Amino acid sequence: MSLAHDLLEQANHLANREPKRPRQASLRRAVSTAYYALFHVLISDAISHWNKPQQRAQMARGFEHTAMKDASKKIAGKDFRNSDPGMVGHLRTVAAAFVNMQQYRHAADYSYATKWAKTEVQDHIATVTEAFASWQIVRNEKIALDYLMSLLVKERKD
Amino acid sequence: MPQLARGIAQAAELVKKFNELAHVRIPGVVKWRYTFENDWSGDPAIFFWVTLNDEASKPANLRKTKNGFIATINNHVDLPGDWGLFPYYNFRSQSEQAKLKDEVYE
Repeated sequence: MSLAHDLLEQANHLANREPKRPRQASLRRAVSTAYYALFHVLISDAISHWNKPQQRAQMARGFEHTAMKDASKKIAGKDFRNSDPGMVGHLRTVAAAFVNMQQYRHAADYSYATKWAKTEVQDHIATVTEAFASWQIVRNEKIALDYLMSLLVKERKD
Repeated sequence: MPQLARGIAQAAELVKKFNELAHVRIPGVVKWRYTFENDWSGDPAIFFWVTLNDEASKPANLRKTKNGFIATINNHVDLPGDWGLFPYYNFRSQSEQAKLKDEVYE
């Protein structure tokens, strides 16, 4: 299994580690791990298209959370009129999940004010699981390849 | 100069739109609230805090309940398109809220 799939499995494990009285630490780590599962599935796919394998690890370091969020937010309002609507739906599922999970991950890792309930965490993990499934379907489409590029290279206005 | 999101500049208008949904029954939903906030990176956002009955929050039912709630909102307002707000949805059960007593859900 890939790192991304292992992380998603680990997020599930953490969310269900204490079935009756889940610890906040387990729930927080579950949310954070689920986000990183999605983060890594996108990055590993993006760098796999670079045909110099020895440079891929360095290339992976070039992805930034905020830039990836900004690129993902743009997918919601982007005009895909010449593309298969089903595939566009899958891409939008992935991009929206990325934006959402980045916010939740930030709260899980840094916010003392947030108290997590197991239902919230299970919902977020389900969001990532759905995003994985959608990505599997759309990942070789042009719109998905363009999306991967946009995660790394900021769109210029000129 | 960055433009203020319409959902922030005209928040009262958006609140009116949500008030129109106050009496709409959404299966599994006991109560819902929202807050206007910036997300972690400073972008304007709206956070929904949705309390579900315990049955609706079970893993087997959660997606259906969540999708029903989100569809109700989306059919009424286009938050990113018309109001410039990215929505974040949070769902928990009545039992969980009774224990956690989180103000944003009350």
